[in-house]
Amino acid sequence: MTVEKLIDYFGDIDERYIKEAAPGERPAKKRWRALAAVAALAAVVTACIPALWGAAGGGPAAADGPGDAPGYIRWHGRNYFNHGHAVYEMPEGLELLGEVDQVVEEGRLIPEDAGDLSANIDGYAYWFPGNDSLIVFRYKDWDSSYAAVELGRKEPILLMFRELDEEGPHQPGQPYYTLPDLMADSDMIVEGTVLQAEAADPDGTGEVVYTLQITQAFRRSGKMETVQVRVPADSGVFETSRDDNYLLFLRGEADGTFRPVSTSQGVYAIEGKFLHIPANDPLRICEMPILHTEDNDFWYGVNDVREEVVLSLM
Amino acid sequence: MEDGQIVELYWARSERAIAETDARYGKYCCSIAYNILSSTEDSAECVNDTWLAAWRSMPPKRPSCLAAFLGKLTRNLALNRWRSRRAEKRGGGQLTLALEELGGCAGARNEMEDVEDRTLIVSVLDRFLASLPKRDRMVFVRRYWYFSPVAEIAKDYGLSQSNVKMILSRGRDRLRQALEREGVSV
Repeated sequence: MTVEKLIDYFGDIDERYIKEAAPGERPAKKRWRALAAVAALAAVVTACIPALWGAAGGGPAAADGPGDAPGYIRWHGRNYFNHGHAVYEMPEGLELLGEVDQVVEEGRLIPEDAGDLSANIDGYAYWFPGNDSLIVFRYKDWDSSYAAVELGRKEPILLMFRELDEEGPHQPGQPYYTLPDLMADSDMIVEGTVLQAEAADPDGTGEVVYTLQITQAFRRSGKMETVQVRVPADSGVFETSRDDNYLLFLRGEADGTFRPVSTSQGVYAIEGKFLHIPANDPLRICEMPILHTEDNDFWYGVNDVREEVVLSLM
Repeated sequence: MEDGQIVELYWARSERAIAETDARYGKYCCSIAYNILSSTEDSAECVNDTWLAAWRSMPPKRPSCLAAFLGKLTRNLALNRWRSRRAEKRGGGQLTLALEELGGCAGARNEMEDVEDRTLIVSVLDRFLASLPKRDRMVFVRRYWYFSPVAEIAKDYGLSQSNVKMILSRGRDRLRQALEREGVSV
């Protein structure tokens, strides 16, 4: 590989790192603002300082347990919610993210289960490097009863579908899957990016096996890091971009591969066997770019039917 | 105007899309281009090409991070223009220096066949960056993605230039080792 190619490949690094290092963005410094009558508070991870385990109390009153920890922590534009899951012994492999700061955001809505934040948010946030589905928070002055509390990432997923330009919207009376049906029919629901593709059978069964890197698991991926998905070669699945994330509803096969649960006018996945995805399927929900928006404005729809979908990360 | 609203303008094929993009990201993209091309005129042309590329790609794309999306377009366009100019034996700038620096990432060739799988190498780069402390990662990306001058990085992050150079040097060593572990030679 030449150095020029390395520079070229470097251009495709994770967008979080690009945004993090953008000119004008600086390593944050701790800041405090006066509390006022506000609709919501959010705790934000800021600059790194060394951990001080079991530091003596002093200053604001000590917190007692998981319920006193921040209702949610915002990191890299994502919300991590405190459901009161106490951690009694700090697991190995944690890495310090930084000190949790207190930022007042007036008028910002918080989810119903976020709870009110204590005025004392004097602690540290940790993560398992490479796994951004979980944050571990610990107050500086917590006693030995609780080591820390877990905050899990829970985000609604925005699903978009392609409307047919030529054939028009979905026709009344035609069968189609609703999202809950897809979810119910799926053995596995994951978000992934394409690593490679190869013909399933060089002699021409007309199928292609895609290997995907699992970036998020919403159901039953266990410890799988990659998944192989078998699709018809002419289906056009994954044709948009190898770089896009795809949300996949998958049915398992005996040979260990998976097939997308799909829908089409008049065609279903029957008994776990994938039949066919026509090129102009109006509900190619198995192949979609995924958006994680900040304003909880989520929708998917057929003929303007809209549902909010929330998939909890495993 | 927020990113989501700007993206909606593209999807609505509104002429305001470009104006709003330029207002919000004109300087940002120009800075990226200038660090590569070292020419105000070429940078301006590159930014205009970026807006055209953005117009053509949205829809169907709906980027979740507009800054990174536009930045990538500008970076790639500027790199292509730089290559053309180099063929004409023109120009220089931060990119030339960055290439010289990264040339030091060359490791001993092993007996395995060289791997040039883009996806694999990008995943190695991502894992390498994830392994860095945040400040070091920001410095590294500012230098080799944005091609910001060392002096500018030092000033923005409150570091001495020698400190920045040391961070970059350590980073390059770690990157070389990470690539070698995957059987990639530079």
